Amino acid sequence: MSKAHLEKISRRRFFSYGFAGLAGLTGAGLTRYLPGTSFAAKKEDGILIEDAVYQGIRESLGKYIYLTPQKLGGGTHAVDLGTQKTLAWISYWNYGDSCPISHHLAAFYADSGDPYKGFEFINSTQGGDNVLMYGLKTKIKEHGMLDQYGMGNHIYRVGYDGKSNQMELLEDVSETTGVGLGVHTVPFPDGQGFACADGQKDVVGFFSRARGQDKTKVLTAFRGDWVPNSKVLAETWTKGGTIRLIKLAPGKDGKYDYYGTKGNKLNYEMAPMAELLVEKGQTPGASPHTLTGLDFCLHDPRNRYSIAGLRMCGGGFIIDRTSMEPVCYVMANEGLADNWPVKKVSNSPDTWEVTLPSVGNPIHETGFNPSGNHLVMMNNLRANNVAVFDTSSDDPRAWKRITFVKDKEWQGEYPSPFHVNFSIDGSKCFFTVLRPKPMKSDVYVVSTKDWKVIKKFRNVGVDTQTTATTYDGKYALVIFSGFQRMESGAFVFRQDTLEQVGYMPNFGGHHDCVIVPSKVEEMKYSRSCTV
Amino acid sequence: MSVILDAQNLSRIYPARRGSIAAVRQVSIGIQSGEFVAICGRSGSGKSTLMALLGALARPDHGTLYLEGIDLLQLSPRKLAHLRAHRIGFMLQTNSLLPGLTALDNAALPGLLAGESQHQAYSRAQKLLTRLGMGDRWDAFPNELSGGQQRRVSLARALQHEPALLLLDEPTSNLDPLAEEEILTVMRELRDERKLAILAVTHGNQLASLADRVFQMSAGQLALTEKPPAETVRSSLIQRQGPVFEKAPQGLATEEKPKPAPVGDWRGPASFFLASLLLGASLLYSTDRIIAWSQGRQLWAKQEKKRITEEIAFRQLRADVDSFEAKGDGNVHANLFLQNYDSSRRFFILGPSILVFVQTDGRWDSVPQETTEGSDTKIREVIPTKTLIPFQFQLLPAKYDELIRGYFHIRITSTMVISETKEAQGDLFERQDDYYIYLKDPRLSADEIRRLNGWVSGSVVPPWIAMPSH
Repeated sequence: MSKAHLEKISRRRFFSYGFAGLAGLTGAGLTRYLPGTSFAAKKEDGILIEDAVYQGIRESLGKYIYLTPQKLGGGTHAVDLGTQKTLAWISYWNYGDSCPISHHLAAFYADSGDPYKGFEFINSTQGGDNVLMYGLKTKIKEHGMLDQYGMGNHIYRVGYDGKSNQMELLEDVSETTGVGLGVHTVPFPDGQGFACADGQKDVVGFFSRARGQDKTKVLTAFRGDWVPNSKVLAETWTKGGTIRLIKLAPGKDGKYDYYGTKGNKLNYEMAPMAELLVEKGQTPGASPHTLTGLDFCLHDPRNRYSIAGLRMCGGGFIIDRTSMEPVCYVMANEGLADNWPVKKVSNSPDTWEVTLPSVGNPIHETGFNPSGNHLVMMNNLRANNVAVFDTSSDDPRAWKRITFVKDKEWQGEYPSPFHVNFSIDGSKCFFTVLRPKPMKSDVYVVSTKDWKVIKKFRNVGVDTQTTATTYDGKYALVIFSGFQRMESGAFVFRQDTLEQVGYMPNFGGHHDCVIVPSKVEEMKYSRSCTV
Repeated sequence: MSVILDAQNLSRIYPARRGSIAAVRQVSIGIQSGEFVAICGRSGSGKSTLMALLGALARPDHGTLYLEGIDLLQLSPRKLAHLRAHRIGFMLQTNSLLPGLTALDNAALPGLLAGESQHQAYSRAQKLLTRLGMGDRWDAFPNELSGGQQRRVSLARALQHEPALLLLDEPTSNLDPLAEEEILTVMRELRDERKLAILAVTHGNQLASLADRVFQMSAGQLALTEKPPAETVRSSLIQRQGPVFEKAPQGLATEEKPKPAPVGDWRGPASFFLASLLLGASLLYSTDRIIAWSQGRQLWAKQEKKRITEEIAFRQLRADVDSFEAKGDGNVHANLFLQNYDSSRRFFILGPSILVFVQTDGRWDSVPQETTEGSDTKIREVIPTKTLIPFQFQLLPAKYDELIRGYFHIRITSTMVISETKEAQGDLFERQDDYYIYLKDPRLSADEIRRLNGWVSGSVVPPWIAMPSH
């Protein structure tokens, strides 16, 4: 190096070089996170696509209790999101249920305003032969455990007591009322009752809310029956028919005759995307050709109307809870009318009918946005999109289908939009998107401004299921591992910035999750309005 | 004037052994552009905690905080740090200048860290130092500067990224009255020129007397109070003639424009040795990085290819069982199907190679089978429409596990090798799937199956039942 050059070298320059060296060292550390790793994100057609990053959660998610069922695990547990500690759990085996499959659940708001002091929730269980669908080398049937005490379809009401940090079974609503149902349990937005349904029986029940040692009462119950035009099973729904909605009546003892497996049309539940197996004759059962697939009933946040969804019939009855009568039938199928009149055809028992020329494809999970002016409904298997309804009118007969959420990947049967939820501010809609094994399922984010996909979280986990949102508007938690004994957990991302937060361990083959509301105003963001 | 900072009902509670302590309680304050607000209070009154909350260095337990309309409490840590680095200037109670850097380097540092070019960062730093009367002392290290001069460098550093809000924590503490006046005068001028919003916490009246509004903080609570009268020293200084800042000590001042100092000016051989070491290390490191970068590119390209093949295998290739037909002689005709989920990307597979098992006494017994087309040795393109792969197997075991009475529990294992090209080369990926079904024993009638399972008369008895993945 020449003397002249040396003289030009100043402290500042040396610092510059030193700083460059240090920056280089830092950069070297950062390069390992550049393209080619799981942090990579890309944009396609204006949609941000990001692979899920398998990392733990390093921040508190707030003072909330996260309730998750364990499906084949036979119980449910509550996790404190602030500390990520399990607060308490319950296992229905311990109460004499010889085959509980803890399926869906929903919590009522805490009467004290503080769920940590105590709250109650409703948990449906599957049962019967459903345990045989997973290839378990089990002797449960040989031992008679699927008979009297293992028929399933229990609706358990459970209390969590913050003083003792324990959960206690308060009531088996199916035993009290004779209505045994095993799928979606959805509390009313005012928290004064709940609906429960079952697609194996085609029955939905509306129940009062009991507290403590009080007993639950049936407000009303309906059964849906399909009367097909064609006698060929493969054409049962595609060739059209009539839906008959019948109001059920209790027997002389005040109980209904739908306890346990009584009334099952199918021996096994229709797993998600398994609707077409029924028309292919691959699902055993007493009367699959009459199946409507009535397996959920959720509520308009404005608290007057509910929608009872009929998976096989491509839509749902809008039920006025003030009169407990159907008002109309809304349909998601593209190419068919969106709103169908309902005709009362009998008073003994009260029976209503809707006749459809055809059913293009089954529907599945559905949800109202928090303000109640929109309803979204999955069109699965054949259409594979999401119907969006404008439900701003006070009269459901004026509710109109306005658009469809579509994505270029939603072709054929899979990947298919599944469970739905909304951000607390209503600006975004979260869809879990199912992919078949060995694929891992995704989460899509849709803007409710124009109903376009804006972000995709890919490879989230096996069978992503329902999403729960924290009521402060910060986090969304997606539970996964729905149908089988595989990996499970909760994937967490920010509702506002859509940044990934990480994964929480969560034991069980989940099919549902809910964050316990602390006040009645939070019910509409809870499992009341979306499934 | 627009509102720069809007804080409502801020509270901060620290847990302590004998109960929690509310350092800040229900504090609401708004600051407009060009406004100078002072918060006075005794030591321990919560001033510094409030400053940390307002500067988004700490999170409140309650309340809301907006800076230029942005809800700071809703931002992710990364976005919050970015906003702090660009919109807020901090001057802390301690100078916290880096001792190994000159005044100029210290002042330029925020700009360099924010990604500005050296030219930009250093020119602005030099202008600020000149403005603050430190133009002559740009090359001095902090330990060569007086307390007041160090404060001025700190102030230059806080102003380097042209913030909208300047937060000052005891900016004039431990300064003599003259130095204090120097800092205050500059702050007032900057506020007027740049419409800078300034919030200062202090326990002295001198600073407060210059503010537009003065708040008193006591036991974590804030109350608007009257401005204290200016002290005598201030009025005497205002009348003082001559430049605001004292001149640099004799021998350090220069009439010429500052220029980088030559190596020969360096005082310590240790510094020279250290800098040489850094230079040598950075040169070696740069060479190493170039080689590593080149090798990394090659490695990355290979990994990317592997990733794409994996993506095809796991996200683009759909494969599942399609149909089973059991004949009375025990022959079962079956089909798998293959489908490409993304028509924009072609790919090919070798296979599938299919194995069939039946469950007996809990173990999986292999079943004789054959593919109709010898598919396991064939390379085929997987297309967007379903392609059926027929295969047959022979099944009439004397004994088998009946998870459902009258049904075999069958496992089909399919293995495929996936490639992006027809001429398999580079990274290939092997995918193996297991499918499970219940297959009706063809020797039993539908009525026998119903009887065995207790299914009601007329029940549908499927020839085979698909099972969820397990």
